Amino acid sequence: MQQLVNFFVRFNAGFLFLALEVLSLYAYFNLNSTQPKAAFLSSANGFVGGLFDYSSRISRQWNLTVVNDSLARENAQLKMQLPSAKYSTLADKGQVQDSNHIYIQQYKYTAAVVVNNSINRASNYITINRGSNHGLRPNVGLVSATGNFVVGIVRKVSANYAVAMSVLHRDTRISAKIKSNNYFGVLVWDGDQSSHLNLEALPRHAPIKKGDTVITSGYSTMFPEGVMVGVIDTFFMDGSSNFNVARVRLAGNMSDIQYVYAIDDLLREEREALEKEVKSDE
Amino acid sequence: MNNFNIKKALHFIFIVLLQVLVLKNMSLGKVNIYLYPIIILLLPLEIPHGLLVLLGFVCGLSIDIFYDTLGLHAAVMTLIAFARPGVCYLIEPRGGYEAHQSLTRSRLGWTWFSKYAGIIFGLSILLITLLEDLSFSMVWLVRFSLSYSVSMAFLMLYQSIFNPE
Repeated sequence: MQQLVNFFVRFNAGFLFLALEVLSLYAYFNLNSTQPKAAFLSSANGFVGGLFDYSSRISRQWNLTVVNDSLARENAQLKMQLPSAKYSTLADKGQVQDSNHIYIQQYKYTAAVVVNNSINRASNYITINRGSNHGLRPNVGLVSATGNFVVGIVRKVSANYAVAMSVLHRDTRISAKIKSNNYFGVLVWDGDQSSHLNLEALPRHAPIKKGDTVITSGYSTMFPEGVMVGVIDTFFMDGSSNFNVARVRLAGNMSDIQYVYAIDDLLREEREALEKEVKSDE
Repeated sequence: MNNFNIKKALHFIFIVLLQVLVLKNMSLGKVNIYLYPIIILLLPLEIPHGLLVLLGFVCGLSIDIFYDTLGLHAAVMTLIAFARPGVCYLIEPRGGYEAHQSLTRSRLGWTWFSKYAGIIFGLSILLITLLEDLSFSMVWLVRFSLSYSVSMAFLMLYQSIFNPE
């Protein structure tokens, strides 16, 4: 090393400068334009490429929130295109029509991030970062993006936020059914465990098995039919009402929901008005 | 002496990494931030001229490899390293330099260091932008002035944070 230093000390700096300058300028003007680049002296070599790869991996972490948001929005768009989100106007199977006229949009999905959530009170609420500016309105069901299970019902909406009643709320009433035999009941929370809901008002003769899947019935306008709720853990007979009650273990953990979809039934008004009319006739 | 060399080598690697991993990504369009000439700037005064030129070349070449501009920064830094003793001679403070002088702000003061860094950085960035554009134009002038002022700001920031002895 010392010899090398001594060599340069004695070496004529002017000559060295000229040589290196000519070399670099030659490289700059001649080697950069040719197609097969000098791979070793560019970022294509393994070490430099690896270093850039590593640093981009770190910077990608910083963008994760933005990427997640855009993916959630994209998922909401895709969910809206599923046949189950549409209303078919076809009266009988034999009829043939342009597919644009057969289906009209029934369910609108809006992706949102949970900004506040609780699970340990008697009445729990979820705040999400979407509001009336994004087309949200009260009495719209919330479904978790991971696991697609019911998490709540939007109650109040401001311009940019909405507060939803969590399924872990004393007043929650969601119409749900057992997937295998279509017997339906009402989902309520007894205020005890955050992992379980009770499916009440099941008829006595309904066959219930441990491990049966419970899904929403679609009888209310808040959730479409078939949204996952959970699986039955145990069941017992409610002595006072002569109905069966099933303990349903929620399909996901209510404490770590991050992204949710608000599912808005666009045909809600029509259906509610009709049902109200019939009730007032009685 | 040996300890000193290791410190210098680590400084070299740190600045190159800072340049290619951080500052390269912070460039605004064609306005680039260059901090790496500080490697040549802070080398001791009495370094042999030949070694200085060689270090300038190596420094520029390592930046070139990451920027994919083979030869550009190497050519500029070789010239800057070659011209450095001349610049030091031109702006020699009254009473001259001390023996084993390190050319830092803490030793020679704000005024001298700003003049020194201003000349070295101005020359480097002038040559880099000229070689990139290969023309004098309004666009080039804007690019040069913006790159120069932002780079100087970063240099002063770097100086305030690390303040090398």
